[in-house]
Amino acid sequence: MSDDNNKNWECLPGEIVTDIFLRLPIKSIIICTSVSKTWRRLIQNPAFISTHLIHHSNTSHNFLLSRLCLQHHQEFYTLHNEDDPDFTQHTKFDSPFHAPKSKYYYGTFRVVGMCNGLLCLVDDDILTDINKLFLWNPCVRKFLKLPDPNIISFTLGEFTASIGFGFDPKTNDYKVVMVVTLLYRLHHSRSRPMVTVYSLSTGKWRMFKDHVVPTCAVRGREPQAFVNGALHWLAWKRTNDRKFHPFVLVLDLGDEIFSEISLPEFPGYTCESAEALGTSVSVYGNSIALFHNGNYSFERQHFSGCLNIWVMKEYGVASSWTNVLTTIDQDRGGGVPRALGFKRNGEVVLLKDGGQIILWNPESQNIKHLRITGYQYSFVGSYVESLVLLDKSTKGVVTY
Amino acid sequence: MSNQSESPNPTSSSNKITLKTSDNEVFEVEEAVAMKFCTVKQYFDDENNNNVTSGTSTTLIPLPNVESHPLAILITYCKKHLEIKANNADNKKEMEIDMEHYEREFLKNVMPQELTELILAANYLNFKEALDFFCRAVASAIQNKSVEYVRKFFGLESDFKPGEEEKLREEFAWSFEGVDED
Repeated sequence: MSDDNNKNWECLPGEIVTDIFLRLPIKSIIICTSVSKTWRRLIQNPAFISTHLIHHSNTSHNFLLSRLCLQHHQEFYTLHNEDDPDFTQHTKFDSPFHAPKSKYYYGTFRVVGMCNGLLCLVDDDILTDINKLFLWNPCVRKFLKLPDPNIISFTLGEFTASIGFGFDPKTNDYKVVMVVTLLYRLHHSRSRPMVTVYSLSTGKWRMFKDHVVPTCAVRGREPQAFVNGALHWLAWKRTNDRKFHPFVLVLDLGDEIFSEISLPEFPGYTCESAEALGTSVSVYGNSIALFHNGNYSFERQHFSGCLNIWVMKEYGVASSWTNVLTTIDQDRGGGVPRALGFKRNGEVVLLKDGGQIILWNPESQNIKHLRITGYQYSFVGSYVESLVLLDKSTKGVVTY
Repeated sequence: MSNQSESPNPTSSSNKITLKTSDNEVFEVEEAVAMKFCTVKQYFDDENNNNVTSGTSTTLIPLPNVESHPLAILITYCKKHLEIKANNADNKKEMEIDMEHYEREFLKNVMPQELTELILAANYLNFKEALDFFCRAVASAIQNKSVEYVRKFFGLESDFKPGEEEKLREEFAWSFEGVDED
């Protein structure tokens, strides 16, 4: 009897076994890879990893927040249930680069992008601006250090680099894009940034041809938004009136073609100096939002003015930009709160000048203090637990 | 031998459908129950289309891949499922609570080994709700369990070459921490 049953389990169709795997937490799925070769082949398989991702993308309610432990100067990452009004933390990921016995790397990292459970991190070495880039899946405890980008060379002179990260469904590939603006060319009206793209499947960086990149400048460390298969940065064009005209620079990761989205007209829309405009692009559902965090005062070393939030109700349609928030002028102290991103329910996560994180509901205008402290580079976004990288056991992927 | 279907369901039609298992047992079931088995429904619909004029109310449907033991359990489960659905037609939440309660009791009487038979039968019959329930049941039985427990549960032998398994275990050492006691 028992023998018969054993045979039965073995003759369960693969799709039923994978159906069972889909209902397991990631830790148990990983345990299952050690049960038998057949099971390992079923799990460490791009098709299963993709099915798992689709299944969980539809059901996930996780929200990720990156924070900094000031005492040890280390980042950590917490998951919260988006539907939980108290925003209670239910999972904490420690950075693999800071574990006490870490033999990997040191330094502080910030998140430049997140997609399908994969985080793209960059170390914040101010001296070189860009030093090391990583792709990290905290759920399967694997990371990959990217090779050095092929355009970084000290002979270029001082530069500022902005990074984007996303998924290209056409080639089923993850891509990291670096947009490098040379500082001495920042004020030239005809200069173009240099752009290079890294593909996870090839493991290599590839330069874009110069003429496909629009004439503009992108400020370094600018938060980017990955929406609708495209990366979005805030960029500037220098016009004949010697002013900077901001717009959204769009790069479709599938066909690798640049395009532009116009911005709404807001106070200080054009300005004398690109650095003085505290503006960034964020994900807003299936569209983008614009955060304008006042203007930077070099004299006082902080942003003053007011926080403006605009959302693009209809993606790509410039006339659909809608202003949802203008705070009162904080010029007399207090500083301007900075918008970090949106929750799925439309609430805005704000970082106050003192580091406290608050939630603001545009509909009810309610404000909720979360009693959580963020930092300058706190990153927020909807998070999906995924198995991405689990099938990549070679090519420099490290399990920790 | 015939397993007469008891407890008439007031909401279903009185039409009966006869199912014949691989071990030659005959089950007479309510049409509403049999129609939850998509494979049976397909067969039934095809038959009806071919014999529009026959007007027979009883059809014999052979199930060469299903034994009587799992089929009897699936019929009981299906009847209960329909009953709970009918009793809570206007309250989805209540229905889910009743169903959860029933499923918990159900699992107390099912041996892990029986689950395979049930999954294979539900899969062949294309009975989606039952298949979903059994897959959930298996997943919760092996959740956070050790490799040894999972192997024992499924009756699987390790087919790794010596050293291969140790390497995997070393790579994923973190996942083996804090698993439940077997």
